[in-house]
Amino acid sequence: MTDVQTDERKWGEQRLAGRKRQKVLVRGAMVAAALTFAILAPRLVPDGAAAPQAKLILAVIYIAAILLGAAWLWRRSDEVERRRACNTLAAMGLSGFVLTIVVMLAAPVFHLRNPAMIVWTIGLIVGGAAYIAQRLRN
Amino acid sequence: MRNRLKVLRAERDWSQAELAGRLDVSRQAVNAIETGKHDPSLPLAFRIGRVFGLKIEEIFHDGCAD
Repeated sequence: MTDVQTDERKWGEQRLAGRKRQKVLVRGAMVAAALTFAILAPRLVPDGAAAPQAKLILAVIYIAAILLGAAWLWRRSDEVERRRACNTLAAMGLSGFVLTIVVMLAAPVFHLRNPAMIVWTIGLIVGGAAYIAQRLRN
Repeated sequence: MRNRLKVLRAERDWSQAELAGRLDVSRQAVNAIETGKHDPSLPLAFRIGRVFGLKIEEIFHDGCAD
């Protein structure tokens, strides 16, 4: 079989590989943006009167970059990936909805310093678990 | 809903990745449809029909005997 015939028979696999490469690049850029914000932002912004505003501007840029990447990924996703993403977000939202009250009530009893961060972290863990469970089921 | 995707794919000697690329979906989507874990939307079902050159009802059936 010639290379041309092989290409003709396998163009779907090549297209899929290109699709995967694009997604890896965008996900990499999103992780890089998150790491840049988490690690570099506190060091880049000096303490002072203007620091809160500078940090707010950095946070807005970071969130815009993440939203842009997420929107691009959503557009390039198929219906199975979108359903998985919706279920993951629903699990995170539900955990936040339920746990916010519980953690707020528990905070004074257990001397929790940052209840919002605890709810956020648990939501992240629940979302990750929901995503992994869906991947394993498929 | 049941389907003949796996058989049709095998007849053409296509991998799941090959079919996924031709449908412009992920390989996991093809796997989920093949194993009956996901029922495709109508637009995707039409696309699958076009890729195989068949009508939707020649690929998918509800499993009930008429």
